[in-house]
Amino acid sequence: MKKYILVIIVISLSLFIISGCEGTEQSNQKSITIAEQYGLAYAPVQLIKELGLLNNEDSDLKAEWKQLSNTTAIRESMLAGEVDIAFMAIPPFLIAKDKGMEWKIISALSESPLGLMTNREYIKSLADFKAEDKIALPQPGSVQHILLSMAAQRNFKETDKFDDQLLTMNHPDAMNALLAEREVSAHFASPPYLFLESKEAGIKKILSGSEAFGGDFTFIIGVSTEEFYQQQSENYILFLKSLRKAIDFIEKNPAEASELLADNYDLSQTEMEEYLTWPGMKFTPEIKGLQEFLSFMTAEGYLEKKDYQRSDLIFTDKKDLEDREINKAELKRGAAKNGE
Amino acid sequence: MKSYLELKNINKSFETEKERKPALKNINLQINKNEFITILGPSGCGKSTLLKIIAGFSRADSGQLLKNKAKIEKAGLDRIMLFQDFEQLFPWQKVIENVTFAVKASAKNNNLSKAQIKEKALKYLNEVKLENYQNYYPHQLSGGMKQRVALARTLAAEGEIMLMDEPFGSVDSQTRQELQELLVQIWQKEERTIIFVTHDIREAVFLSERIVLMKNEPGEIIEVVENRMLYSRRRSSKEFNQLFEQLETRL
Amino acid sequence: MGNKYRQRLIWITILALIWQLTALSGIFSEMIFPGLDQIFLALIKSFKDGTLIKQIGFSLSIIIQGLFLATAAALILALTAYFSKSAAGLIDTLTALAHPLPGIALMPLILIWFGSGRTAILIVIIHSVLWPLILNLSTGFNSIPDIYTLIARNYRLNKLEFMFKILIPASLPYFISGLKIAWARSWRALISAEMLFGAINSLGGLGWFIFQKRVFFDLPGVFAGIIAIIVIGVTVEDFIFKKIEVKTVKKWGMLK
Repeated sequence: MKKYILVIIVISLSLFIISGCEGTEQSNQKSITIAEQYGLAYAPVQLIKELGLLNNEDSDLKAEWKQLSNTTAIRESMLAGEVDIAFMAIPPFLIAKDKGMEWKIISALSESPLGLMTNREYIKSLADFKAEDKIALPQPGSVQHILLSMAAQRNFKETDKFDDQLLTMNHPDAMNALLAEREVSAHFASPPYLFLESKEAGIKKILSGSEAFGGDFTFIIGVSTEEFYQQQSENYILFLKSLRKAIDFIEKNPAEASELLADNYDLSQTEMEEYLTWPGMKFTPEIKGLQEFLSFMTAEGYLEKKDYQRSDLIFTDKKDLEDREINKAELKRGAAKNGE
Repeated sequence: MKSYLELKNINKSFETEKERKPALKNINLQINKNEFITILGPSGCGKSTLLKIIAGFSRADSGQLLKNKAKIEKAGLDRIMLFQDFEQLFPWQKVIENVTFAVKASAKNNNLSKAQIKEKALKYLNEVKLENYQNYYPHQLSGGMKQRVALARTLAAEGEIMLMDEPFGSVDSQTRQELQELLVQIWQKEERTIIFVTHDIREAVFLSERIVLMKNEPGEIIEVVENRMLYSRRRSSKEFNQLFEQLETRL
Repeated sequence: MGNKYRQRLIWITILALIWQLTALSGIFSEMIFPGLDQIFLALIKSFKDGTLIKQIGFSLSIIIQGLFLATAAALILALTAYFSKSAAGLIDTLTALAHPLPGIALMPLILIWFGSGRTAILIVIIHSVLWPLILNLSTGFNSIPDIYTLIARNYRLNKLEFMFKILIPASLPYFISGLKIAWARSWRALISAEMLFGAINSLGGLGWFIFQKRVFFDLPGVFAGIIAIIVIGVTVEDFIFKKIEVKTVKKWGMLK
């Protein structure tokens, strides 16, 4: 028995040492880590980078940009405390929120056209899908999956009608498969893949995002952890301001924004502008459709908890926060005075 | 006696790094049917090489090997080799299966039933007195027992000639004497020609009717000695020891 | 042998206890570090609704198919290499090039050539099994005692008889250890391929099961999948292969 205890002590000591090594790196206060993803709907985030919006306001701040391949990976690094701010669609945010992840929405980022594209001639609507027709989309629980379920519910009263036909693929692979007309019959695409696919002969859209949803909705939102919001409120405000500026910039000067961003997306400036101003593309901080997603996903069992308040899901507005900052600053000043 | 197996002017040399080394020089030998002949010589005299040539495992550089006046070039079931190495048994086969292996191989063309094959194998296992061990695996047997199984397998192929390359060289002397006695008994019962290679003079004297003496570098036959002692021979007899001494001085 | 399993059991109990205590202590959030109770609830739930069984069945069926095909191919190739010098050169070169290459690295190519379905996973498994098996089989064939080839000539065995009566049984220890490596590699390849390739919802394996749990942020579910993988891995390695060894090479004294 003594031997066992000894071994355990040695092992836990070594584990302790390992974890200690990691701990020392994270003490840097003035840094903000942002996860970026590829896609036109994320354009304002790229613009923050291009315009150096974060550096202008506070040169001390070190902004770190992390390239992560998918929403799941982003969520996991946020949980691990490696990412402070990220962008994604509403359903993946809600799924993690429901599982207890402490995070909220900062702001909306964009609305975007989405489309279920097919390469099969006989498919004219959802009703034409045969059992062997595979539908490519990013992953179960993604906004594309939820939208497809919503459409299935609306048309057939059968939320999981297509669940056995889903093929998990990232957008570039899915587009290649769709164009090759092999293996997949349809792809639930977002821009720029949506735009590229709609230019191809023989590929048509049979369902749009808003048809599936039954109205307009926010495609991408910005999210942050409760911890970051509480402990680094200055940086949080700084980021929020930058984001608003970037969104504003794109909406007001699409041409200039296109010039700045074209290289980023490997597009010509005219293409970039065409895409940024494509009907249905809209950059706005206003959150739309949260309630609809919430009630659908709750009703269909994707979420377990009910009765979410708006304040459970969205961080307090910028203005309140700024007021709080001012109060704090005044308090500090007052304290300093008292100290004199 | 009519000549049965004939070795004519056999020469063999081996290529080494520096030179071409003659291993066998001008070997001429006539072996009679059902004879027990030993090839006796110090190690390196080419006696094993000679046996391999007879078996067909190895080709002579020049010379001829004739059986009933017909040339022999390949290995065959009429000349089954019994090796010294315990590894010659297949470890994945039971004792009986090791023996039926030979029965099946030799009976390839005359359809034997399973029962007949087994019967034959058992007969030879019986001859080496191992019928009680038929369901053992080789690794469960002692070295001497393994060689007895191998002997049974060699017998079971029912070839006219049995070639033995120091088969008892790796067992202790007590067991060796038992095996020698067993071999003589079997030879007396079965009609087989045995060519037995050894460097042990007593073994040669105990076993064979004729002893071919060979010398080193190059491997040559010095003399062929007749051994007319009656079977079964006693190792302590005067005759035995006289012949032993005679051979020892020759070598 | 009994001692080994008792030791293991003791350690598993201790580790489980430490795990549970850590989970209960609340140092880590439940989301990062779920307790064993939650993990087992998730495991039982997945078993009850049939998903886990279905996924395990899918994984096992594909791996058995892959192992079978790869073993047949490896046997043919290794035998060809044994009997033909020029073929040996080619097969040896191919093995040297392909063996160190992880199947996952081939993924982009496989996607283009075979799509991303069951075939693709099968190809990854075959790739990860074929080369180590050929290596082991060739080593086995080339290390059979010379005496066996002499015996084969002496008893006039033809090539087929030599193959089945001597060559293959004589190299069985190498064959089995090759199969063990093959199993370990293919099991790993399978799980990662399933996670990477994505799959059709109704037809995913254990890797897909974990992926799905991950996507829905269900950490106890992820652990349930991991436990299933461990249990199957250990069962095959410690019981099935051990049994095969006991019934063959150990019984024959070819393996100590």
